[in-house]
Amino acid sequence: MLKKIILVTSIAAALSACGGDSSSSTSDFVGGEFGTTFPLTTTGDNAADYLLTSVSLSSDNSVTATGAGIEHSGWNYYYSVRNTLFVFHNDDAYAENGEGKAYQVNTSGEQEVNSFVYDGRVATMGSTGNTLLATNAYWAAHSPLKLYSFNSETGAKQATVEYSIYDDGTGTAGEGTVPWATALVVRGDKLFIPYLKFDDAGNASTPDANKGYVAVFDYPLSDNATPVKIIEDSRISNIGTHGATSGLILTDAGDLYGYSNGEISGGFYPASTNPSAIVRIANGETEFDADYLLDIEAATDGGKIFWFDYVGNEKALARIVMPTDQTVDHDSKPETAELPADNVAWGDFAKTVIRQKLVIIDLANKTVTDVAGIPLHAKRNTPSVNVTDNGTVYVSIETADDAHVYEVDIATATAVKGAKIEGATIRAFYQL
Amino acid sequence: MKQAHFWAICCISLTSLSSQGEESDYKLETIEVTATTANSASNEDYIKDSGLSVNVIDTSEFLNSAKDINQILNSTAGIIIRNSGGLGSQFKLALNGLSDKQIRYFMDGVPMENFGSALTLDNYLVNLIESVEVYKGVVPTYLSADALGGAINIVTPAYDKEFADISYTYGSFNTHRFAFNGQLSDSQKYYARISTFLNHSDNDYEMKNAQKVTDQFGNINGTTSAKRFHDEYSSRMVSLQGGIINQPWAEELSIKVTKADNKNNLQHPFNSIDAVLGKYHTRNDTRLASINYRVNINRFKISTYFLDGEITELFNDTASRNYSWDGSYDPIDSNLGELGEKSKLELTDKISRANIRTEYQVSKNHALALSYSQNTVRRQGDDKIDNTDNLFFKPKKLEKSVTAINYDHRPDSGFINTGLFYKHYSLTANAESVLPITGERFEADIDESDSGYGFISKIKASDSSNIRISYEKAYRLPEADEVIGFGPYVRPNPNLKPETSNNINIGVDYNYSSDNLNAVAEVNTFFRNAENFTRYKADQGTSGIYENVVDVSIKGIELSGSAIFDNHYTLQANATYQDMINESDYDQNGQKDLNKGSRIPNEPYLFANFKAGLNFHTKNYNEISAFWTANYVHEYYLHWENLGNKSDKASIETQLTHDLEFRYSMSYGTYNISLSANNIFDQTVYDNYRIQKPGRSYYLKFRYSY
Repeated sequence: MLKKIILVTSIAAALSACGGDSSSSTSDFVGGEFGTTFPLTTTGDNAADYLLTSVSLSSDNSVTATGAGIEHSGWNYYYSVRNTLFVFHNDDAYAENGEGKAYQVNTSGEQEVNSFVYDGRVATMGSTGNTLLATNAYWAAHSPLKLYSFNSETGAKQATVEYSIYDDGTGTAGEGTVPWATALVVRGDKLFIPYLKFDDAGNASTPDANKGYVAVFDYPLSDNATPVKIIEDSRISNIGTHGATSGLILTDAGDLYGYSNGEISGGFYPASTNPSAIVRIANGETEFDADYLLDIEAATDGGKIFWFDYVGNEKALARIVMPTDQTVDHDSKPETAELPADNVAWGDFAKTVIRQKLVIIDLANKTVTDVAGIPLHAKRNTPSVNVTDNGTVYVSIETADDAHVYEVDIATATAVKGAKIEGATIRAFYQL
Repeated sequence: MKQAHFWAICCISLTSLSSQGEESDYKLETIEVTATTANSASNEDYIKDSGLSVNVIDTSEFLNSAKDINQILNSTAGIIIRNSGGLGSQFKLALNGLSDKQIRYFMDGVPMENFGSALTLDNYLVNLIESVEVYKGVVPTYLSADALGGAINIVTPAYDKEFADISYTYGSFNTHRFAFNGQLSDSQKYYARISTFLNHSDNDYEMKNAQKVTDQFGNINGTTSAKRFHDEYSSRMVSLQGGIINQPWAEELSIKVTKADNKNNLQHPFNSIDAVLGKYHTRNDTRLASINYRVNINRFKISTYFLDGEITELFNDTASRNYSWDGSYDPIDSNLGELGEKSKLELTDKISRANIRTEYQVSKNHALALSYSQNTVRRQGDDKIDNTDNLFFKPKKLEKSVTAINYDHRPDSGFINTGLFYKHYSLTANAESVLPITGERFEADIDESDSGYGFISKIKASDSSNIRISYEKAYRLPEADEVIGFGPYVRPNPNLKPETSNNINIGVDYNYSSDNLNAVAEVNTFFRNAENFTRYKADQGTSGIYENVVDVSIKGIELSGSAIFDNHYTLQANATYQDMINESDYDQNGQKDLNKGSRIPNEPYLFANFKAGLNFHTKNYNEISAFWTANYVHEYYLHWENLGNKSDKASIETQLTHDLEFRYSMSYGTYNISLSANNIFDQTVYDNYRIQKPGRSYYLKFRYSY
């Protein structure tokens, strides 16, 4: 098995040259100069993530962390900017002191180029040019938030700015709400931050789920920055979903698109009464485009968008949660131990609810096309996707029985099944 | 030994009441065959001739040592204890591979479950107890509880002697430990005892590489050492006990009241040193009262106890501060405490326990015993700050009972002694609970019952060698937190199944004695086939649920030996190897567990202890002794061993520490002084989750005893 996975070693340069030769066959494509780097999450008790770099993810391979990979304990968020992969380690129970690392890949494999500390839990990242942006978030606190900037050449943390989105705390937990950023997007001299609104008692309910919100800041942020304005859209729900860093995306045309889910199983309670949809902030504008609404439920026979990310040419790769008869063993309450999947809080984050399909959305033309060749699957949110030089994207698809790498051709909306994943999931694939 | 005499008297008086005739009165076998003992006394005689796999640790050799019960247990074959800090820190005791709630603790046969954090074994200095019985695999029916993998019974001194034992230990990290144990007794009438301990330690030992050195932006340039600055632990206990003994109508009728409390400052959570705490603390207050009654009527021995108690644990997380290892802090949001949302949670458990046991000596060779015990916990709680933590406004109740029947056969030949037993467990709980996020409340009734069984057998292979075989189908019933839930974080799971295990122990011992050498060697193999381990599954944002997901098989071997030469030199050594294999088909996320067949991570699997001692008497009968002990734990990994690059996997490196101890006793042991040096080479050693343990430390102990 090992010889097929071929980790980056001293012969990696030669191997990547081979990959280049066979780039006509997409399934043999070699991603970055040294292959595709990815964190593989294992199954079982005490699971960890293992950072691996592989030159081939094609179907005659399987990827495994057996004897290989840099071990990352606990709960990790990954994000890449150019040649650097950043890892934010959040131990959920004690998130006051986070520690992160930055990796680059060379002929001798993944190299840790920096490590750094941060306050609180960092789950939302973004980038502008050569800079990684990352913000912390709190489940139940109205603390000033911190926006961290990193240099992607060196992995070095180079600035910390305190800012706030809003503070409606009354001093009594549960009466106010706290924002949870779902993207950090810089366009020109503005930073756009869409956010979810959770109750400030830490119950993870969403008392204000019938509107979408985006805070607009002057960028770069000054210390103690507050938004220039907060824009609202009452046609949708809060923008983004928990764990996603692409609730709002910037296209080549300079337009910003945001999605809303609003379902109990997507992390909202009470559920939104508005449909799951995509909205736009047009190039040069700082208001929602009242003439643009892509109603996902109407476009997909009742589906709800759970995640998307920009893949070029005004297109987004998206996951749509489809209606299902599946019930979920909820266990809490004997008389309703089996609940319909829609009604289980955070149900679509579970590995056992198999009802997501992968689609390509032409944002400008408002069309939704299923990616052919990918089965219904379960998936937590992916932090970000990297498009390869071939115009393809690797995804990890988890079904009831196993997990596989698929390579999606964006232009044709088709996918080729690749390597078997010896583990629970691969969060994302990076071309460093 | 005096206790054995005490029991000999009891047993002889029993047989004289029985119709077996005068001739058996003075026979040693009589004591043995009637040795299915009652609760509040040593079971040593019963154990000796049974097939139970037990280590009885006689504390008399440790009375001048500064060690507490945990430290002594840790040097026993098959046991490993891991700490997350110094005195008072969270610890995990594993016995033949099973650990935590899977092991049950008893004091004189009374379950110590839910007794609160001031009465865990690390609080007890050895001076308060006479022996510790470690039951591996099979738990005998006179210890009535749902133990999955064994039990530990602390035995206090017998009631028929007078004694006073005062000791005071002072040592590193501003550690003070005081214990007094005194008893007045008229062996035919009454006894009265007072036991107390006072413990304090600053636990301010040096942590190597704890503090990260960063530049102004937070990039890490290196690490530096730091002293623990918020880890003080203090605990106190006083226990009064007394009653009437050795009357025709009562072997013992006694009452006991205990009051204990502690305050524990936490420096960091048990599994990480990166979250530094500077104010977080917990307080415990425990009050217990019990009545004990034992009587012998003809061939019947009846014993019963009732215990009532109230245990309060306060968790105080009210400082909105983010501390660093240098003791400095940054203020954080006033809604936050140091570990999450600001909270001041007080949980009160009202416990009641009742047990009745009847033993019937059918004939000289046959004995029957029947016992019933009940264990009730009512939990109520209130968070003075976090109003989402409101699940315990109404009391929650959980009731367990165990009914057990036991038969012992001990033939005259003594070739094979056999015991058979059957246990019936039942659990009922009535809980009001709340669904997360929606806040919907509902009632849940839990009703679960199971039956376990097993046998023990001792074969006398020769005059100097015995073979012991024991088997139990064991159960651990779900606990309050697991079934009822815990605030907004743990959803209740009324469908949770008990953890079960098939426990087999097979052991051989060999004794050798000659004029100048006494030696014992023992090999014990153990097998556990444990299913339905409960694991917390964080599946819904901030909340999760306990589910039965993990199956484990354990195969292990313990080797131990001890020798005394010329009555002056002692050598003891033991080593344990345990192969713990994951047998789970699915993990807690419902996915196929790809680590099926792999070694369970974060569990030591090879460890050993060595002790050498010498002692001499001076010409005025004062005694000088010296001991060298070594403790070895082989490297183990935090996560699955076969995954990832070995070079940068999180591991707990091999530990080898050496301790030295010198003792001097005067006036036949009345006045004693000892000096011990632990970890003399100041090795940097870690425990599970790579939490560093103390470096070199010194303890001076004074003891007066008569």
